[in-house]
Amino acid sequence: MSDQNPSRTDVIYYVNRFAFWLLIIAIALFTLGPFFYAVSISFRTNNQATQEARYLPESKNFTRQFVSNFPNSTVNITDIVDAGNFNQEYIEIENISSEDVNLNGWVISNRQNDDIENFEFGNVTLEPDQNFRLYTGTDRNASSPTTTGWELSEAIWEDGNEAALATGENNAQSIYVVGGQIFATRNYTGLLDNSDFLRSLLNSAVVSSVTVILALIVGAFAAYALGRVQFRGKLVILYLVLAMTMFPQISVLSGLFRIVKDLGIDGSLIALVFTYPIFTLPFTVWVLTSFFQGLPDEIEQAALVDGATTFQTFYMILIPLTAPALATTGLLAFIAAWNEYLFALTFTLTNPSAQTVPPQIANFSGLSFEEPFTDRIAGAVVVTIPLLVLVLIFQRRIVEGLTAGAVKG
Amino acid sequence: MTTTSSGKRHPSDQEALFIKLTSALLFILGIGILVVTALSILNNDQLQRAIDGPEYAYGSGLDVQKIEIPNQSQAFAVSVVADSPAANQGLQAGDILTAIDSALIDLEIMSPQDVQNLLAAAFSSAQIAGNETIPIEVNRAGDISTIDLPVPSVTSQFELNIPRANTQDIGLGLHLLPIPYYILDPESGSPADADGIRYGDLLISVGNRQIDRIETQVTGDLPLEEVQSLVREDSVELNDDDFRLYLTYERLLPDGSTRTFDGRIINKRIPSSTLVAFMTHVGFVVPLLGLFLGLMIIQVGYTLFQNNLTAARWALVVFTWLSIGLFIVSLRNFWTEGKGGIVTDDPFDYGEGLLAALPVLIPIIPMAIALRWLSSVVNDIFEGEETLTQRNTRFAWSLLIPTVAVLLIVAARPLEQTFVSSLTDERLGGTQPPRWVGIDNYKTLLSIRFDVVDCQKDEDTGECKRTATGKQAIQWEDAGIVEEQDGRTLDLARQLSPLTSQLNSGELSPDESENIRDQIREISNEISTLADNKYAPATNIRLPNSDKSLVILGTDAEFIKSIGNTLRFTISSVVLELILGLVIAMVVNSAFAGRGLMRAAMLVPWAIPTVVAATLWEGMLKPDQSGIMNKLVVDTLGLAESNVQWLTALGPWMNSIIAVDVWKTTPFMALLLLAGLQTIPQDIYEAADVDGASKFRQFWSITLPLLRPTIAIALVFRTLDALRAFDVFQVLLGEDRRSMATHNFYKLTADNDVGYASSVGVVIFAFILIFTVIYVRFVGIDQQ
Repeated sequence: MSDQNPSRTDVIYYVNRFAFWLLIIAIALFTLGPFFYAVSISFRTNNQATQEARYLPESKNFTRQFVSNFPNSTVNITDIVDAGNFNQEYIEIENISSEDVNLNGWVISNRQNDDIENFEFGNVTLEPDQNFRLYTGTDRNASSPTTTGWELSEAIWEDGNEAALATGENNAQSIYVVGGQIFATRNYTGLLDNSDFLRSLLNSAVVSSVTVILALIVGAFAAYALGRVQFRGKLVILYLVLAMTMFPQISVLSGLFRIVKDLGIDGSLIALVFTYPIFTLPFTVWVLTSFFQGLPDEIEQAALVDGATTFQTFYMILIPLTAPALATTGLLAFIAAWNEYLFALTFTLTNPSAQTVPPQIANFSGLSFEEPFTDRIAGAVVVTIPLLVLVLIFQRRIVEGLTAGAVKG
Repeated sequence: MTTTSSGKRHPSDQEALFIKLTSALLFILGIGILVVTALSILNNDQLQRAIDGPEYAYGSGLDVQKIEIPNQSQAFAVSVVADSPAANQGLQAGDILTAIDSALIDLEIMSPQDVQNLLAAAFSSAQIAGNETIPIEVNRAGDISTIDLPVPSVTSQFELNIPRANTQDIGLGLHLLPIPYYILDPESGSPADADGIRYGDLLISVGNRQIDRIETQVTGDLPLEEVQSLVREDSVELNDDDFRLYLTYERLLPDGSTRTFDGRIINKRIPSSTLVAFMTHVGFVVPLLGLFLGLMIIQVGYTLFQNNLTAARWALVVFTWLSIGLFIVSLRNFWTEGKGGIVTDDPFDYGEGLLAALPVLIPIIPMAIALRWLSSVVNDIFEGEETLTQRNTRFAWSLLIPTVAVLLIVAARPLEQTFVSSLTDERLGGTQPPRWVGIDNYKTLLSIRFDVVDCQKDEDTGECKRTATGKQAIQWEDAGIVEEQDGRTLDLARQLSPLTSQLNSGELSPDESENIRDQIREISNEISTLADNKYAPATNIRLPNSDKSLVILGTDAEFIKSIGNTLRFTISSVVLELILGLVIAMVVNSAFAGRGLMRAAMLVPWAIPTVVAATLWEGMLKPDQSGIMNKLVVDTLGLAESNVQWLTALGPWMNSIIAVDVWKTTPFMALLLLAGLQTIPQDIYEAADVDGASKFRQFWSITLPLLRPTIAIALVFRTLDALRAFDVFQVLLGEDRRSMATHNFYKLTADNDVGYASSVGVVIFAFILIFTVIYVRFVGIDQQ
């Protein structure tokens, strides 16, 4: 396995060093590119106002929908922003006076401007203490806008487009125009504050581990029988096991739900552990069967000659030999269970505290009109990391399997 | 192989007694299993309820209709069943429902179904919270009052069956309101509703029998029971399970005038048959499993009694797995009983849990004793020999038992339910019990026809016209079959109008009008059959070297399209994944610094939850500059002039989702192949070196064949997964372009058609099964 004498099952045996490293870079770009992109956007706020809505509960209504419903007599803020080519931005309106303000029927509650950060607005950076003001005429197409207590105080010219900001005469109502995507760690700090999310991480860990352990035990038993013992009905069992994966998950869902309810285990992690074998068991059985078949017969015979019982041969000799297969299928099953969405959502409907991570992340949308895109991505990054650690640990097992296989000679 | 007859001794008296006791134990266990199985069928509440027919709306005796009110637009009126909890609380038919449990009812956006769902949700949350009533607000002629509606418990649903016997068993979804009883009250979505009967219509006659109008709330000449039996007596002309019923009824119009409708034909729908109810709620898998297990254990007990070695060894297997099974059951009992409910703040009740778990554990004690004793003497005192085949079979099955158990309970039972429901017209949240429809669902799903069409010619050039956008697609004429269908429908509709005007002229004798009604019914039936089985074009295949094209039409064209989409998707993505996966596997199998990291990095896409990954790609593939792929392709690399519409129907959407899927699932392939590479011994190659085989030849003739079992398995599982592709299609493409699985999903969630959706599931299953059998032969998985 030294560099001078590469294994024939390695790419490095077939291509030269340069091409090899090019390949590695290409693969890294292919697999990691989108992931790094995900990491980079997970540090940004959402395009839409949902992020603000979540952090500033009292300003929940201030999404695009609010803006487009803005009272008729005032300017359509969306239009102004779009005219400035800022279609990525959204608007937040903030009232920094000491009282709630009724603006043409919309009550804008009072809130101190402590949360506003530096935000990018096209080419212009607004400072929090700058009173950029919104122009609100009754007719914005009129050459000289009639104002209702508001007048144009400042305008930004860019690319020939007007992006105007106005303030009221008494300066009591200042309106900020907030840029959309800003750098922030709040997606992550938000996750850490979210106890539901943390509990779902724990749930996922428990469910996936138990699922994998069960799948490997049950699967290894079955695979040993199917791979090493001659008996009638073997192929039938193999194909029946495979048939488990031939139905779309959605069409077994209602039947499975009924069983889970009948057993009285719905709304619990047990329901998930109980149902996950439907997708983990088939490939565990098949992959392990193929590995058991691949082992030479002599090993078993030698063990039997040495006086070992069949069961001893199984768990003392054959199981260690299939370690790479066990590690591989275990990893794949773990990830499949970790990422499963449909069952996790359905069987925990009655008790959301038993939810695993994927439905939890999908639930982030709960509060608002628009998709909380970057929150979800941050959640995904967080849940991917434990898996990566797991892979780093278990890839050594896969290597160990190599040496274990070499011993047999 | 240690089973020699030598060294066998005759069992002592004590041992003979033990053998008898052990076989008696097996007898008892076997009979116990049979009894438990039988009880679970005979004592099944759900089954009983399904056979008894539908219950009243949520057991409160309250039903909601959207009605039109003169001078007002619309409202939700309640109808109330006599003697029901709702009636006892003072609710009256015709009260306008304005709020349920402080949730206001929004006339603009809600349908009666929504209101009923709201009611059901309020009930269930009240049940969870332990409340006995929910407040509802009604408006009775301007007076708004709040009424506490009792929350029905599961048992009270059954005590409310007095009105059901009177009305719902005729299956029309038509209630006759008891006071005054001539008000008709159709259940929303029921046949009566579909036939145009509205809440508040006044019943005038049933068939030829005139019902006297009663203006007061006093029971009139005809008691309610008689009117209802009239409705049933008239159901004489049975045709399969349908019958027709002539009702005359009167409706108050908004301007205060009344109008009389007559001659309504209502099709009866029977309650779910016992067979359907049995198959839905019990099925065959579990009872047969119980029967088989019980009989098998009794048989083992019987042979053990005869001092048989094979039986003794099987008894060991039975004891071991039965003990483990009972232990799992007791754990489940401990948990469910101790917890006492799904959502409860009560602390875990260990006493209750133990109480529920211990009885199940008791049989384990004698089993453990028998197991221990039997295993110590099994080779000494039992007679007979086990052949190698018998021994292998026993050994294999004893290892396979947990897998088979999972297979039967977690997979076979739900699959059985899916299959049964595909033969019914079950609906999600439907008020009617599912009815047996045979293979109707499959007929609609799978009917295909072919047609050859010409392209639309450009008048100037005589060439085929092409669409301005897209891939220069040719414009085709409409398929002849579609025109034919439309023409036939139009013809039928034309025949209909003179008949109806004849009928409405009022100059016909009863016999003549009966005759015309029959004709009208026949024509209407044909029109509705045509509408149900309307063929629509699914796809065009251009015939080579001609201006003609083959059109595939289907009664469910979406499904035919989805088959094509899924196949294209599967073939491309699996092939790409195999190649890429193999390259990646061989790269990370190489020895280089950072190999461990690379192996972890390789798995990243597989490790991101699919739902989120699809959302991520959705963001990356946005059709404007806000999507990073467009920024990359247009700005950075300059590969394209303008933004690419990655996912729209005119863009390369298929390639886009294939790319996403390849990115997502190549790691699965790579990891499996990596593990496969590990098992290839290196010394094989040394011989090849001696022979002077080239590198390529070594790869082709040694590595690939040795990797073949792994490749085969990886291919089978990836192919099966791709054929069931769901998340990518659902998130990225939505409802317009479907895979087979998303078609199933939308039929279920958008159309609420459980029966039809199940038939889609079964067809996908059959499709994949056939595919697998051919595929496995082709890949050669079972050659070992």
